[in-house]
Amino acid sequence: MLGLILSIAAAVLLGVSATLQKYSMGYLKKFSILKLIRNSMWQLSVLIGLAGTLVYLFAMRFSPIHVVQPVIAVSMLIPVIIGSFIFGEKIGSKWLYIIIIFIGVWFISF
Amino acid sequence: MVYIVLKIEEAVRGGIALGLSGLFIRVASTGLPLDASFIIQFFSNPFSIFALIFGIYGFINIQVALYEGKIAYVIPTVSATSVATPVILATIFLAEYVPAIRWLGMLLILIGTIGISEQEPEESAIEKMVHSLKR
Repeated sequence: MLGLILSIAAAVLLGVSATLQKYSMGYLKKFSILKLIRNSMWQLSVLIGLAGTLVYLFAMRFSPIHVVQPVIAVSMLIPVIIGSFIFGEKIGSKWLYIIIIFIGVWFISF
Repeated sequence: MVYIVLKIEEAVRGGIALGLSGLFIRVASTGLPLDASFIIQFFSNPFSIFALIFGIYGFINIQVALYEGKIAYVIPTVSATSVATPVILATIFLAEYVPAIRWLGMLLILIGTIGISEQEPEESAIEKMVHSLKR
């Protein structure tokens, strides 16, 4: 049970990290990793990502990989949902492909 | 007609690099004791350096992909390719048995990734006018 809770926590942290990374790039006119490193929101997103990775590693100690991995696969849905509903990204008919990828990752995780 | 454009090229590259990094982490950490000496022993294995290099390369590519593309396309692509890469490589080089459900998963990932990278249809003149009015 603890492993499952940790897996869900890791999935949420990794999803939020990716979303914050995207959000922190809004001010960039041209991509520059040096400018990103100096951005406090980007730094926070990387820290959240590292925390998520640590929680993921702990989850692996408490639960078998076939329990942890499918839950981690859910983390990719968080940025998709936030991208669509908060950033207003138009996904349209591509939802179908996103769901297909999600099912594919889920199958591989077993 | 379907146009495949590599708008998500960096996402695919980043995902593959992360997958390779994960594979090297697995190789470098196999058989190590889970105690205080773990980190020292892990980094004394040459495969850990490959893991680090591919990890950093993948991370930078994902940042570029996130900057240029939609997060809704980039993250699924990265997740999919990073999960599928070690499975494929383990099958080829380590001769690991892959059950049918995983092959099905990889097929679905391939279909989904190609589908996402398809060029979206151009807006018609009327749609462009409606969008400009909305702005």
